[in-house]
Amino acid sequence: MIYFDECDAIVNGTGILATQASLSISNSLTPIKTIGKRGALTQSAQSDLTANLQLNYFLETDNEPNYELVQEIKNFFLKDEIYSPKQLVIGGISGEYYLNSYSIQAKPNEIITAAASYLNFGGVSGSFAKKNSSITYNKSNGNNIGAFVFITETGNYLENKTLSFEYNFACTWQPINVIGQRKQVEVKLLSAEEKITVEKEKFSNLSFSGDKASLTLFNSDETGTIKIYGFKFACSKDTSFGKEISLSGFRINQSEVGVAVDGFLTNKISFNKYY
Amino acid sequence: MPLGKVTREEQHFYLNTGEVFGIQNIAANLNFPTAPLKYIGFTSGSYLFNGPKIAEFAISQFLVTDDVFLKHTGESTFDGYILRSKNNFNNNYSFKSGYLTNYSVKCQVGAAIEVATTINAYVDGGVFPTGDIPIDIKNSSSSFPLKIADPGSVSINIDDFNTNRVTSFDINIVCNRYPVYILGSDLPFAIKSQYPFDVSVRFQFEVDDYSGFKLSDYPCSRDVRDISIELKNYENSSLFSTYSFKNMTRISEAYNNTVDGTVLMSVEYRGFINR
Repeated sequence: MIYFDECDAIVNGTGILATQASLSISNSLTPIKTIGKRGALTQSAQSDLTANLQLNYFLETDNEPNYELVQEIKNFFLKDEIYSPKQLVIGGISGEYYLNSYSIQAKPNEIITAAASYLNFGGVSGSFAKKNSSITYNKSNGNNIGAFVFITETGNYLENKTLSFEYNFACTWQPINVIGQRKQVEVKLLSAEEKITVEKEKFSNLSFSGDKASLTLFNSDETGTIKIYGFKFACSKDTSFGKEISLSGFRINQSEVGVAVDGFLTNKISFNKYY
Repeated sequence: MPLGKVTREEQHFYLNTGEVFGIQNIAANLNFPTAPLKYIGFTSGSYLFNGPKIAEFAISQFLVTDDVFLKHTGESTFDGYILRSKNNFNNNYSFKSGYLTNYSVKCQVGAAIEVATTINAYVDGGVFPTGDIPIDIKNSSSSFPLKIADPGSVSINIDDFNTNRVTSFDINIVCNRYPVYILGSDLPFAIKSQYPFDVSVRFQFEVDDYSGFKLSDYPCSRDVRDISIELKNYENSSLFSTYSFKNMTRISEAYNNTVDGTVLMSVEYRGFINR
């Protein structure tokens, strides 16, 4: 048996600080039934193998291959090319994957966590194996693990009190199959969506056509930014390895108010952007 | 060379700028919130900052003079300093922005009345630079007006206790606080009190003609009453502390009889302190 510290969790050639990785592979066997016969005649494959890989991990601001792929996919909409899948390896099992969803969660005084899920069409290869010594994990020795999120326009984050933050990205892939070929000829990127949810102590109402994120958050037409820094920032204010998410193009589309016994009245506001 | 030691005559507790007299015990606990950094492919471990920073102090005091803690069961915050003397700020152990989280007072025949408190400080705690200690402490009084409320100078407004001899009572007030943190800051921007505060008053008495209650009468017959306890100076009967609680509900009673003693009853009332 291979213990967790002997496994690799590699995304596109880079080791990530995964706390959980799970891979589910399935084929598309469907029972074939016929009138006049009891039970199924046989099971027949309807399409290619698929795999779903889920990763939960600590976000490193200086080493975040999943967010780089998010940026690559967002930019890919401007190109007229076939997207190349990326290689991911978990415990010796490797495959070519398409990023399906990505999320970041931040709460005050907590380590920022991230999650990514990937789709594979055509199956995976390899066998359980101990890790490759050439992969370096935790390069910053914890200094650049995400710990602080600022949602700011002017730099004064205290003016814009935020109780929690979530970023979600999701995209839709469609494998194109043709008669006469077992493997798909192409996997098409159909659409993508970004969603940011922030929890506030003040209420933001919705307008019919949805205001810009900057107008809702900062009462300003300027484009705000979400900045993520590691622990190093707390002591040295070093911003060299920050991650940034621009609020440009986001519009408010949901406002949820909640309160319960022993809790406070809060407002969760969601902003979306579509590709 | 003999190693030094610090004994009680070199320990003085100041609440804001005045010394608190009759202190029996002080225990301080600084929590450095951490989480272990473990990940798939783990090579070397470390601990990361994860969680709110809280300094916890537990302080008990014989009521030999005014009760300085009772007034802090509300919204007020205070600082505390343990000093070698009012003129020596070196080697202090202190806290800033403390909130009372629990207050209890216990009175029994054969013992001095004792107040016990727990205090959470959310801004800072530990050894402070001498410049952070308020200079006004140097002007504080080193003596105090002795006011002792022995059990014989306590009055309780419950008729049953005119004939059934109360041997002890204790009051407990739980003052839950909620520090509100925002993204980007490890200090709370507000401390909210989580009203209502739970209050418990428990009496123990030796039975004479106490008739008691029957379980099946509950809930049609309930004992809900206002409770008032006055502590008076035993020398001149002047009032120096009053505890008044409205709508206290009897929630339990216990009957105890042993071969070596008299019949004892213990009854507990509970209620709330509202905002």
